[in-house]
Formats: sequence, C-alpha cells, structure tokens
Amino acid sequence: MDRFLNRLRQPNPGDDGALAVTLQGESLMLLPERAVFWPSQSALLVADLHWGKDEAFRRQGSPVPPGVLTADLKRLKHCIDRWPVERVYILGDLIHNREGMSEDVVHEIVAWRETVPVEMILIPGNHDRHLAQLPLSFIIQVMPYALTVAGFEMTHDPTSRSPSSDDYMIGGHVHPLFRIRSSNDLIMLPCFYFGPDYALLPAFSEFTGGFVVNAERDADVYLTDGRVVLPAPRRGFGRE
Amino acid sequence: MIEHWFEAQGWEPHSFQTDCWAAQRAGCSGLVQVPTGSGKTYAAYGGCLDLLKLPEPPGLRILYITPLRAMTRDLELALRKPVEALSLPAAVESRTGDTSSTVRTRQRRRLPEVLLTTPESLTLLLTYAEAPRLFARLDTVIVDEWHELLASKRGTQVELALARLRQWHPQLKTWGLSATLANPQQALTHLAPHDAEAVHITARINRPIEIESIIPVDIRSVPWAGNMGLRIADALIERLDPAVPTLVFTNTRNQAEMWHDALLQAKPEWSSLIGLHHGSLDREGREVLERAIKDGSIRIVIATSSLDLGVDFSPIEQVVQIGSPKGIARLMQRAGRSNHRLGETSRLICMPASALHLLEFAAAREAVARGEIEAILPPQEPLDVLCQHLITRSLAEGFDEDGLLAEIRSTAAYADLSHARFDWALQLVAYGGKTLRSYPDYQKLAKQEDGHWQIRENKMARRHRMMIGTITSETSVQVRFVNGARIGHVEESFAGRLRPGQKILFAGRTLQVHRFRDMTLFVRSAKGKRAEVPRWMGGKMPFSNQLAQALRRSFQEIAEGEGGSSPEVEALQPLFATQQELSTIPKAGEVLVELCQTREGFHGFCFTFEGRVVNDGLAALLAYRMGQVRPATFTIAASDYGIEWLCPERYPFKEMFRERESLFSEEHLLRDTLESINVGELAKRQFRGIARIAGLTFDGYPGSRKSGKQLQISSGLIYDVFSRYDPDNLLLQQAQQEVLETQFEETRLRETLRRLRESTFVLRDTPRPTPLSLPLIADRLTSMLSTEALEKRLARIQQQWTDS
Repeated sequence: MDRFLNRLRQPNPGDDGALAVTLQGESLMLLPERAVFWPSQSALLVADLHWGKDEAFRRQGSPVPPGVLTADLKRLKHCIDRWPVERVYILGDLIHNREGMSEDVVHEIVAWRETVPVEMILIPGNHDRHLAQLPLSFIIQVMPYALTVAGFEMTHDPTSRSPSSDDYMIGGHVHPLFRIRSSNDLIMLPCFYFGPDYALLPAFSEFTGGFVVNAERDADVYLTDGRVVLPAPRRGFGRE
Repeated sequence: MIEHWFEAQGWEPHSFQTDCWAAQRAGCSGLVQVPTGSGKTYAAYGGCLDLLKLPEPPGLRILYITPLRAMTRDLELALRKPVEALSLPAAVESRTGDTSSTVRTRQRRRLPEVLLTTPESLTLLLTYAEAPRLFARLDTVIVDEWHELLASKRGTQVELALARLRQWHPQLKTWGLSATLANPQQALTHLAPHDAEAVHITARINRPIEIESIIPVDIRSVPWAGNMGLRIADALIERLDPAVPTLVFTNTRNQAEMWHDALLQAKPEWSSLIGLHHGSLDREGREVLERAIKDGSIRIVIATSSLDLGVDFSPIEQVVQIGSPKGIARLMQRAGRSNHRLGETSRLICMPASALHLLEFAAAREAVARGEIEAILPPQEPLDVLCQHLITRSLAEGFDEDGLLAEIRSTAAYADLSHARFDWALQLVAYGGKTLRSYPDYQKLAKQEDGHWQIRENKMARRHRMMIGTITSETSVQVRFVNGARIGHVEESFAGRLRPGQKILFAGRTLQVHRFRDMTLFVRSAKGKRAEVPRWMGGKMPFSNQLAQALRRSFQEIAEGEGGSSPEVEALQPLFATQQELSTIPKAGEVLVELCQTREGFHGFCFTFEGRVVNDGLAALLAYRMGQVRPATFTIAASDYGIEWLCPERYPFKEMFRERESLFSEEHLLRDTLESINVGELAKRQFRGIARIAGLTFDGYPGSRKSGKQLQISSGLIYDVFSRYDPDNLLLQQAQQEVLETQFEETRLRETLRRLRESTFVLRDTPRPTPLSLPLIADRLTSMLSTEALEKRLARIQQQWTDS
C-alpha cells in the first residue's frame, strides 16, 4: 500500500503521466488533467467543468477566493495544446448555474476561447439546463442529450439510463472518487471508472466534490492525483 | 421567600443553598459546584425569587440558560413550582427551537419574567432590534451545566452573549451551575469576568458513589481484547431485572445497537420493556422513549452519552457502564443518573468488555475516592466563533468597531484578542478578506456614514439567523422507511457503502436497504440476522489524563505487589501472571517496551498509558524520528495503553530506545509532528466545523428539499481553494492549531516526552503477543477485517495462551 502511495507521490520525471487503455477495441489515453484523449477521433473528452461555480458561491456569500476558473481553463488549454486535438466533447455540466455566469466570467471565457481554435461540442447535463442558451460567443455546439461516435454513446449521466442501442456509454455526472486507506493515511482521488455498461470520467473542475465508487470485480478503476494516472489498487489492499 | 416554600414542602435547605441565596441577595455573581442531583437549580434560582414580587413592572428578570433543548420541559416545571406555590405575579416560559411561532411572536413583544432558553436561542433573540427593550429589566442570568458548555465553542458563544447583555447591565448577576471540576476558578472567570468578587460555592456534601464490577466466575472467559464485550453478555444480562429500572451506558452508538440486540435475543419476553437511545435516532422517537422511562413503562434502556446529561429520570435505580470508563468526571456523571436525589448513594455497576477494563474500573474507583477529576479547558480565542459573532452583531442596529472590540475583549475567551486579528475577521466577513477586497459583488457588511457596520441585505440576515450556533455534525444521511417515516440518521460514508437488499441493524431493528438517494437512505423492515451495524466516526473516545494517571498507578501497585486489595485486581491475577511470565509489569518510573515477531512481521510495543490522543501523536512522531535514523516502513497503531509499530523486516527497536534523549526530545517538536502526520488531511476535516461556524458554508434552508443543492459546498473544497489561492487565511491556521491542540494535545505530548526521558526503559523480547500488547494488535486489525473474522482470530490467539 505504501509503495503504491509512493508511486503516486513520485511519478517518473519527464513523463506526462498519461496512461493508455484499450476499450472496445479503441485506444484511449487517460490524462492526469482529468480528461481523455481519443486518438482515432482526434478528440478530447471532458465532463463536469462547472464553469462559474466559484463565482456562484461568492455571489451567495461564501468568500471563495478567485482563481479556480482561470486555473481550470489553463489546464484545459494545456490538454488541447499537448495532444493533437481537433474537437472537444464536453459530457455535460459545462456551466454551474445562472448566477455563476456573471459578466466577468463570460468575458474571461470568451477571451480564453479565442486561444483554443478547436471545435467544441456540448452534450448537456442537468446543470446546463439552468441556462436557456449558452452565450453564442462561446462558440460551442450544443447537441441533444446523447451523441454516438464510433460505437461510444456519449451522455451526461449514463448511470440513470439504459443505452439506446448496444453501444457502450461514456459520461460523467457522478464526479467519481476512489478512496485509498493505508496504515496512517486516507486519501480520496478522482478516478476514471470503466464498468460493464458504461464509463465515468472524473469531474474536470478542481472545484468539485464527488462520490466514492467501489472497484467491483467487473470494473476497472484508474485514479489520478493530477500528475499521473494509475490503476486503482485491487481488493484486499487498503480497502475499508 | 424561597425559605417559606422549602418549609411548606417540608424540605431542609442545605447549607450550600442558603449560602447561595445570601450571596445572590447581596448582588454577587458566582459558581455553584456540587455533584449532579444535589439541588443546584434551586440553589441558584431561590435567591432571585424575591425579584418576582410586586410592585416591579413586568418583563424579563431571570434568564436561565441550559445546553439541552430536551431538558427545558422538566426545568420549566421545576422553575414554575415555587412561583405558583408562592402566587408570584410572574410567568415562566421557555424559548427554544421547538417553541411555536405564535409563542415566539408574542415573546418578541414581551418576554416572560422567567425565561428558559438555549445558547443558540439566546444569541438569536439578541439579534432583533427590540432586544434592548426586551432585556431592559434583566437582573440575573443562570447558566446550567456550565462545565459542559465551557468545554466547547458553545461556551464561547455564551460568553459573547453575556458580554452583550453586560452592555446594558454592567453589573449583571451571573450564576453558573456546574458538576465538580478541577479548575473552578477558571470556569468562574469565563462566566463572570466582570465581577472580581464572584463567589465560588461548593457543597460539603459527599454524594457517595459505589462502583462495583461484574467479575465473571471464569475469568478466562473474558476476552483480553476488544471493546464490545458481547461474548460475556450473559454475565450482565443475569444482573438485569425489569423490576429494577436500569440505565445501561455504552461508549459508542455501534455498541449500543449491538447490546440492545443481544439483550432482545436473550430476553425476547422483555421486548416491550427495553429501549434504545442514542444521538442518531430521530428526536421524536427519543422523546417518546424519555417519557416512557419517566413514567416507568420502559424499564431497561441502552444508551450512549446522549443520556449523560439532562432529564431527571427518577425511576432509575441502577446504572451500568459497559466498557472502559474513559474519564473520572464522566463516570461520576453517569453514576449520578441513578437516584437523582440529594445525599443518596449512586450505584454503578461496571461491565468489562475486555479483561483490562476491570483494572480501569478499579483505578477509576480509586480516583473517585481521591477526588481526582479532570480540568475542563475552554477554547481560547476561536476565530470562527468571532466571525459568526461579527455578523450576528451587524444585524439590528449594527456595531461600531471600537465599541465592539472592547465588548468582545471583556470576555475571558477573547481578553487578549489583538486588533490585527479582530480586523482580519472583520475584513473576512465584510469583504471576503483581502482576496475579494476588490470584488464589489461579495460585500456582506456595509459601513454606514456614522461609522456603524451593518449587514447589507435582508436575505443575508435571514440566512445568518438560521446558521447561528456552533454545533456541527458529520454529514449525515437520513434514514427513512419507504413510506417516508423518519427513523434517524447515519453517516454518509456508511450509507454510501451499502447496497440495495443489504440488511442493517439500526434503531434496534433489522432493516433492509431499499435505495440511497438525495441524501436519504430508504429502508424496509426486515427479518433475520447477518446485519451490518453502522459505525459512526468519532465514536472512539480517548482516556482522560486523570484516568491514565490512575491506571499507571494501579499497574505500579501490582508490579510492586501491593495491588491485591481490590476484587478486580484479585480476579485478574491469571492475566498478570501470564504478563509476568511472557514479559513483565512495569514498576514506578519504568516504561515497558516489548518486541515480538509474528507472521505479520516485527512488532515494537511501547506502553505509555497516556491515552489514545497522546499515543496517536507520539506513535507517528517516534516512527518519524526512528525513520530518520534508520528508514523503514511502519504500520502504526495506538490505543489508550500504548503504541505499536509493525515492520515487515527486522528493525533495531532496542538501539532506537537507547537514544532516549534524541528520540523523546522536545526540540523541533512542531516541525517533526507536522512532518510525521498528515496534518493537512486532519486539518481539512477539522475545517468543516470552522467553515460552518464562520459562515463560509451554508447548510441550506431547512425543510426545503431542493434548497438549491448546487449552492451547497463542501468545506473540503473551500479548504483546498483557500490553501491554494489564499494560503495566509487565518482560519486555515486555526484548523491546524485545533488539530495540534485537540487531536494531539501538544501540551500533554510535551509532558509525556519529558516523563519518558526521565523513565527507565525495560525492554523485553516476547515469544508471542502479551495480554498488554494483544489489545493493540486487535485495535489495528479492527479497521481492516470484519468483526466476525476478527473475533475468531482473537479467540484463537487467546486459546494458544491458555493451552500453553
């Protein structure tokens, strides 16, 4: 267990921390930035960005210091620049709520958007309903609730629906976390979850909580501390 | 006045009561410190009854503060009795979270002459514009269970409310009622800092406490480790009889559920006479049970600390403690729950959950006899409470900075509050601190032209009124039947692990999980066994300093062959013989270190008898320091008795313990502690309460289910964001300081290190774990294995001992 934690704490220098997995014959790169790069489609998959969440909290009286949105946008741009990305699929909850979409926030996003010349496609989530329409200046194409590409059905919350076909679903919504307990330590890390019927992406925003998932026998879980992606330790290993 | 009433009742006032009445009539403040159930209430109340005579105009004269909402009903009756008997023209009423809105509205026009309330309701009342008028004729404040409040931030909140009242009544008579505590002077200073002449009244009555342990005939049947004690449940059950109303105290909610179940299994014919009471059960259900105890229809109650305080259960004749007593004052408090009457003997039956508890009972009895009880240390200058208070004071007419600082400094908790810290807190609540200074949308408070600070929006004011208070609880999940009936609550982490169909034991029944949704766990009634029992965090209470000392003394007496006097020590002889044979029993000035190899690896044990809090910190600290000299991977465990380091490879513990001066050095203590433990993670957990109290997080409006869940925020996230974007935030430092002080008791850790440096170390290689080290191994395993498997494993190890 401690050896596992050490691996998390000391990633190989020079490594970008990504981990390649094969899913339904497709090769996917799991990125420590909490995103997935899909080489055959030149696509980046992200879920639960919750833009403007910190702003929403300030507006209702929690003194959250500014900086979250800027850091999140920077990280997203880093992924887009680092990998040969042509389009970004956003698997729902792009924005947090209406209050969070203040003038300043919209301004910052529009300015950022000009620096990322890629196609952006949103499959809306429950939070996106708070806003009747995204600002046009975001230049984000909005899809219906699901979109199938190369045998993967992308949708915000795959846990609550059955697939429209036999397609494997990919989504977010849950903000999956994995809990690791060692002799004197307890950590919770965002994780990628690959179950029998669907995959769940970690929430992209750093300003999100989450829900602890278990590594069932028929599921693969990969976790990340922001620098490296690793397979989750198996049962009998620091589990409660 | 009160004398007439006492006479009419045929009561003889005790001298501490007449002392108290005299002091009150002389206009003094004071602290009444007598054992539970000795008649404190009338001591403090009697002297002010004179205030209720005509021709004084009506309005609030006496304010009575109690920490427990559940207690107000009984207290109200007790306070009303003499008023009615003497036909005084006064109303006696309560005001708590349960008071109906009609009554509350009426009370906001005019308060009764005697008002009974909780700290939270008082603070709330003080935020209304009409407060100065309502409190204009207040004469005396009585604070009940002051020892209980003093230990927590609720006490700080009371101090601040009293400071506010003193703005209108500089000579406000303030009386505290307290159980016996070791530092009455400090308790008095925090209660009545304005009155240098305040008196401290103690009763010279001894309320005898008789402590008897249950000693099973076959001592070998008592497990040497574990905290549940169910294996020897029969030894207790045969002592129970519905004819003798009994209160059975356990140490955790988990243990209460299991014992309740065991009792039902053993005596199904008693099922209508047995009750279960703990803090996670629905409040209404608990109140029904409390009434049933009082009217005698429920005869045996399994309870946790939820019944430590409060309601007078006159029918209760016998009190049982299962497992470690944990503290002297706590044990005395529990014993006092039987025969809640002056001068009568309190009887307490102690039931060991594992063998060494017997020694703890004997040690506790000794400490009770010597009057060695714990000191209660009030929180010093908590910034979160200050932040909340600043918003509280910005409601109604608002405040001016200098005046408010002076008012706050008039309390003992904030006597040394610096201008800089006050300013920092004001900036945080007003503008969101320096990071949001240039952010006009945030502003909560506004400075008026006359220099007064006031809250900016009514919406904020409403929200704050709902958030007043310093009681914070774990994120809990409601447990409901599928039809919606409430049963209670469990921790989110427990609910999250359950799967539909799984059975749990909760509220004394077997329930089947239906689904977990929207922070509610829906269940159905079920039959059958194999049920999971919820575990609640924070259930493990550490030893108090006093009990630790008493226990060390007991061990020394045994080692020196003087300890045979008590029946417990007598009964434990076989265990001590095994300990002596495998290792040794440490004498005065000695510290025992045992080394042992098992299939698990190489164990080092150090028995400090310092209580789990200190041992936890010490274990990590020493592991870190040993690792600096010779690196290794340790698995660490700590209990009230000692520390275990487990190492997969052979480790030179002996060499390490030879370097006592450096190993137990106080130099770089803070640095090494911060290095050795994950303070960040612990501080993050501690920050939960702080963020809630300081108003950084908002629990949502009660009752409205879809209270905008997207507006709830976890304190862990705020902690992360602060650490990253505002690392100088003083609330972060407070969290770290609270971790070091409350989780690691730095002061006690230093004393321990000093004691260890001056001790002689006795190092022993043992062929297998000893009676002292087995509980440590067991505690460590509990967190890794299911209870059932663990019990089997332990039984097997113990079997090996008995065989050899």
